[in-house]
Amino acid sequence: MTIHIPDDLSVVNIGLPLFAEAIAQQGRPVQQLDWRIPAGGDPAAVAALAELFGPRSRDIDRANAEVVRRLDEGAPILTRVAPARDVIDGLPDRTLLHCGPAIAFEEVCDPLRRSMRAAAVAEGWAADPVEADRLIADGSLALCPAGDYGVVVPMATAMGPATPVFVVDNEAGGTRAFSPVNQGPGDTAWFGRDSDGAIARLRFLQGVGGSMLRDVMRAAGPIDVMALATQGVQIGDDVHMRTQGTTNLLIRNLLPHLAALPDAGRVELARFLSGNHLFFLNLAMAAARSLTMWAEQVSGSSVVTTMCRNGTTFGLRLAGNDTLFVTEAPPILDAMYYPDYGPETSAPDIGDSAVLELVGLGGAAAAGSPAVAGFLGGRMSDARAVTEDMAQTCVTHSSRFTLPTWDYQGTPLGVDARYVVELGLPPRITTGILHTSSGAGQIGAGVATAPIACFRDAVLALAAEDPRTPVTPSS
Amino acid sequence: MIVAVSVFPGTYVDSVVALRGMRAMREADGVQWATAVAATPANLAALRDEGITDERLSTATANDFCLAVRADESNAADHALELGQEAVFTATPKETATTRHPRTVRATLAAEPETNVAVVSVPGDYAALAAYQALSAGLHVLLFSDNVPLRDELALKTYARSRGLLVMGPGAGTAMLAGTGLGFANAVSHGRVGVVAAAGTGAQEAMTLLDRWGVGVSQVIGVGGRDLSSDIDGRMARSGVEYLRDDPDTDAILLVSKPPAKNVAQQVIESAGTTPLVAALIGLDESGFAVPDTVTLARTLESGVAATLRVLGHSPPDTTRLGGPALLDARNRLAPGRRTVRGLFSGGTLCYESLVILGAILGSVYSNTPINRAWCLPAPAASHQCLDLGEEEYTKGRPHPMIDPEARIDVLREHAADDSVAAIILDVVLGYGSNPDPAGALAPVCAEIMANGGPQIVAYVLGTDSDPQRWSAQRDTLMSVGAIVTETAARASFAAAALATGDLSLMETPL
Repeated sequence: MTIHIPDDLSVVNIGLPLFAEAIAQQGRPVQQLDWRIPAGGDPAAVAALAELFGPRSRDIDRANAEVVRRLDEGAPILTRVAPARDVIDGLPDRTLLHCGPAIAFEEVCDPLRRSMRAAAVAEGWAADPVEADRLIADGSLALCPAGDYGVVVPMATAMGPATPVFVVDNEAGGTRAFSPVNQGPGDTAWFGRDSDGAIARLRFLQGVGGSMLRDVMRAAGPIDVMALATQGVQIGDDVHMRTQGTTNLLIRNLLPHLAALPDAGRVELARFLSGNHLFFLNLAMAAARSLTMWAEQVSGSSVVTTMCRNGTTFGLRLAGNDTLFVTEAPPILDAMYYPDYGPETSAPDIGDSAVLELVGLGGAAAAGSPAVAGFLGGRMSDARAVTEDMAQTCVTHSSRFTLPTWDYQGTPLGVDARYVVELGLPPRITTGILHTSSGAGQIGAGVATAPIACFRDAVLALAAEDPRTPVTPSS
Repeated sequence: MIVAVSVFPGTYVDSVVALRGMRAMREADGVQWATAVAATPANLAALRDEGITDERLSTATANDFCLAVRADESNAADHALELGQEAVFTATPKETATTRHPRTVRATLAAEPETNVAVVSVPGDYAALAAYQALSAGLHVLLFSDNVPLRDELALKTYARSRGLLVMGPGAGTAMLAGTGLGFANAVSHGRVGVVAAAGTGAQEAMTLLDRWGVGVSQVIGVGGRDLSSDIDGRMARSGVEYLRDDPDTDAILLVSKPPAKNVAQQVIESAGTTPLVAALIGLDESGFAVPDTVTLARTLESGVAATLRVLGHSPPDTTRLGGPALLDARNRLAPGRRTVRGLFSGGTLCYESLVILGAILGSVYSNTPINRAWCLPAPAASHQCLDLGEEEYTKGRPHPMIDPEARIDVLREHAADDSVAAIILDVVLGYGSNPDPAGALAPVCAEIMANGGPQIVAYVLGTDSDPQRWSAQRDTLMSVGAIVTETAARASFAAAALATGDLSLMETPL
């Protein structure tokens, strides 16, 4: 190719500041890069990044552009609420779906184990948690990652086929994802409790609660989930740790249909909804997953489409690659605890909800959420730093999730594993914190940092792939 | 013996600042060894090799900064750490907490979409990554970093050619594109000669001579010292020559290099087409070299620039004039028995040219970069020597002599103390990036050395009057202490050889 030398130079200086001073002395524009040793000085990662940012960059950037287009433009619709067994193809019986990567029972952390017991009892497979534990331990009940069936579940959720799920369709991509109806705060199984109350809540949702929600949703008609989330981020939700505003918007939409329910159970459902500020969370997760399912059909990309945790391990996947890169689940370092609790009793990061961070919500939207700022030192500038760090590693900005407190910029979108590894800046995940052993349930909330190791593994694997033009379906 | 360590988590310290810290610690009383480095895996291994172990180092990572000292006793170690910390942190202007500089090329482009060139001077292990990011963003790259592996250079240049971009380097200190100097470059006037240089200070000598001799330059494209090797195959030199060939603002091309692979040089020269090209291939053996009519060969930088002037119809000036004392007076002042030459260079190409010139006159000239393998270091007593003090063995753990003249002064004193030495050659390189007053730092030491029959200093000041240091002012400083100052780098070698041999006519050697 012919070389072109521009008439006026504008320089970026990467390294010794004296060279930037030399440019400035000549009256030419120069920017000094805040350069740090890339990838912690790891030679294999540096070599992989050179390949991926160099000769492979054009193909990867093209694939990434398509990935973020899908994440940004897809419009997932809530179509119905129904028991999992009625809507999920091939869902096996006597199997508990759980959050995060596949896991052997002996490695399941205490909160998830309690949640599994509660689910097994609620399904009628066991008379009590003790029997449930035995059935899981001896293999009478199987364990399977929810993700294998297009289901995303928050925190320490375990679920059987009777669990009512939201069905969310992304028509543009032809993808469908599911998430169970949120169990609510307090004495509930998804927070790692196997108490009578937690089991009763599951039964309520399997029974009257689920069927009334099914009727309400049918009456309300299709709901554009991300349209609600878009309004939610404008009123201070990050739509992960905090979904209060968005939940209220949803319930406002549903209110006439709730009021039209038959008397039996109506007040009970209303009481459940009015006490559940996280009701929108699972719906947002299913919508996010329907987008990442579409995005992951693009091959040759360096954008993350799965981040999931089971309290023991953390799993990560890039678009176009089936491999789940797994590493130890991280602790939650920036946190606030309920009285009498602290880091010594907190379980590691858990749940599939980090899918929200991949579509521009959660940590990506921290800069717009005073509630999140509260967990990060209390100042909005602390929350903004989380979003700004994430912007350095993301492909683009969301065109729908704009933050009033961030000059109406869109939230960072499309986590590029290359930049995560180069800059050592894994995404921050806003999340709840569960007790590590006592079954006390939620003991706090905070901001976790995704473990860098699996990003590194993913980058090395991408670099080792045969370079080829990505197959990009035209839709 | 005691070992003491300070670790500063999440702190990036520029290598020049780190060196300041290291020097402060090493100069402290009772210190045996000290360093100030980022806690990269390689640096941590080096610390272990030095016997520095500390619990805090076991958890330190590459973006942590650490100071380490080995001292006679703990007070000395602690004091050294304090001095190191002070030198590293208090001398740097603090940035306000609210400014966040961009960390990626991508972010700088978002802030300044007009950005079109990147200057990369990060450590060699990371230079390819930074260069790739710049190239992928469509930027030309001046790659100042050295220690870039050959295979990285080849891959980078192949990639750059496919994208119509320049990789000027690695180890290329100098370029001037569209009138803006990049790296170590001089302020020169605009003209119609395009320079392609596989030699950093060679490019600077060419551009400043073209300026001082009234011609000026259109572009200066540094391509790195290995570009004309058979491995790299002249990839960037060809890009540069092809650009200048088609450039309506360029009338002649000056190619500057140490001896290249001949078949590569042949191809590069031929790519000039009908545009006149002067190839200053320092120390070239011309046998077996077929040269088209439009090409002139030269064996020194001076003669290359002179030939370029002639191509354009100008006549080059007299280069044999000397500033400072006359040769005969200087010779007579020397104590008897002083017969050897020492060249203590900051510029690698200037050192090489001196080796070629002195070798032809004096025979064996020993060097850390010898032109004849038998003339390597350690040099025998009372021998001629030329040292490239910009080479790694001299710059490890200290700044480049072009940035910090202090680095050369220790070596200068050492050679001045040798009573076989008649003349010491110093190159004083001016321009952007160089020390603000190198002559001022060297002059008092030169005066001291020349007192009482000591060796004669022969200096060449490479620069222009538009340079921040001002060429004529720097020359005056050196002449005021009795140094001989020459018109070109090549002439400094002739003057030194004349002093050492007593054959003063050497000064008039035609080039």
